[in-house]
Amino acid sequence: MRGTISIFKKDLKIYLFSPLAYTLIGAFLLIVGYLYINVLAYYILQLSRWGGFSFNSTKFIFYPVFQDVLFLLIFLVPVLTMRSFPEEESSGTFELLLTSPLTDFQIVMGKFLASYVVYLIVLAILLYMPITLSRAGKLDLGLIVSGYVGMLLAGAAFIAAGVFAASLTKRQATASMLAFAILIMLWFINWAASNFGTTFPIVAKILEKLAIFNRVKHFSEGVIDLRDVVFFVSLTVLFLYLSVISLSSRRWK
Amino acid sequence: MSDALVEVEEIGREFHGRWVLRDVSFTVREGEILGFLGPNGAGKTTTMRIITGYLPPSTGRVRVAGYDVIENPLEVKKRIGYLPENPPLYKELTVKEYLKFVMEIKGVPTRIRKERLSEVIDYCGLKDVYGRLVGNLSRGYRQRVALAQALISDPDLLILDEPTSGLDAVQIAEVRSLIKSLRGKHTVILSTHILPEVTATCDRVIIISKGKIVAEDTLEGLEARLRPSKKVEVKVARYADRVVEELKKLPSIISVSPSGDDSILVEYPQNLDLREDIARVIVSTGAGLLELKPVSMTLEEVFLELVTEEEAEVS
Repeated sequence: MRGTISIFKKDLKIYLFSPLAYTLIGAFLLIVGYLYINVLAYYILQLSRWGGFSFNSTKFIFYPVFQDVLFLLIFLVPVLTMRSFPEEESSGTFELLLTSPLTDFQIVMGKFLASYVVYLIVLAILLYMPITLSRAGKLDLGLIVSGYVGMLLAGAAFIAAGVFAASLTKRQATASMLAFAILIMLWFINWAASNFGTTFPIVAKILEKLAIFNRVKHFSEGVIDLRDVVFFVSLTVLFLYLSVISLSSRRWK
Repeated sequence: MSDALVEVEEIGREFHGRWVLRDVSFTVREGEILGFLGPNGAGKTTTMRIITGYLPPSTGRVRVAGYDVIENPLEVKKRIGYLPENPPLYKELTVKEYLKFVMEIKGVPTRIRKERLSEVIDYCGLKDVYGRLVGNLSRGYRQRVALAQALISDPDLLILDEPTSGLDAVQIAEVRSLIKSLRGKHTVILSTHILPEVTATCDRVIIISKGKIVAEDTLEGLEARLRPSKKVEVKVARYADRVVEELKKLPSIISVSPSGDDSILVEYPQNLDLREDIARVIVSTGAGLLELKPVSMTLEEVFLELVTEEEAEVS
């Protein structure tokens, strides 16, 4: 625990020192903001066209926003996590970490937490959307909470995947490409499901279950399903575990 | 248990089918400063990395304070301060932040951290740069910060890989006197390819070449072993071949060879002192004795001799 917190604090400090973090967060917020305005404009258009609404306005606005944020994580996360191990490699500080009385697990967790907290900062800033809207009318709070739970859980799994990708290589560019590939794969894994539907129904079923897209959709729609929660938590644990293995195996090369 | 702090037993290391280290064994006693000397690529860094647990050996084993590096890595790492060849620094942190981070991961107890920090800052002369970013420091200061990093946990064993590389003459002198002042307080293993470094700081030397130990001794021992004879250099006012001829007639002389225009090198057995005879012969030839001084073999020569001997053996 001690080592994890030390590394987490150190990494976060270095993160927040770098212009990269601010550029990344800024660009992300800008894109999400643009999409959000777009959704609002569409909402107002619908309102003027059809008058009063019988459906859930909160869902009308926030379902696409949550889905957009989750999709954009494919681009945010690889850049967020790519430095975690390659940076130590290039500055020679890996030798310091690996010759200190730290376990590989402590190192991986410290790295994961540092990236995750930057992500939490982004999510916190995005709260401006529900907060400002709540002044204009009554929001369906349950849906907002469910959407945030989805972003928190899926984000953890994605960042764990990014940390794992970074643990495999000495170069930041390679790390980010690898993370990008893993996340794209996870997002679109169910595309092939329908093609296997009749020939290999079991394969289709597995692919369907693995599909990130279907899982995050539930949260964005306001449904917190325990199976989805377990899925993302397991995915996070799996990738962190793989990172620990990758880090230990690096010493044995 | 003996008083050996480090026991290295027949370690070897293979990289992609090539052995960079083979059958290296040695021990380091508590309180000793051991110099690890060898040309670049001899296997010094590899040996040090194996002792620190950064790199596992392909064969053999290492124990520090009785703990095996592979079986008990955390116990070993607690006792080691390591200065890698490239200083492991975070440019984005200040000196203070960096050293605090190192204390945390090295497990320095919270209550003594403040004290340790100010001690090491004083010791390494970092007071002036305490609050500055590591990335903005000069090469010499960075090396000192890196040394402070190795010292800060007050480790039993200090491993310093080329601690003076890339420094200027003044900085080198500073780092060396720093290392010398560690004598008695810490056990030190120091690697270098620069010979004066060893003479300046170490108690004992291991010379390594092509992944093997070629010699292991105290400084005096090493020199003596390779110098069964004594040499004197004689400077004369009027050099003539006759002087050489006359000197060769002296009993038990090993060799006489002219060196330069006015000097002659005379070699004779270690256990005799022929200086008086040599002087007499020269005076009697009328060559005019100007100077007569013993030539001690520098460690540089010892080193070259050992390494070339090794090469001759290999080829």
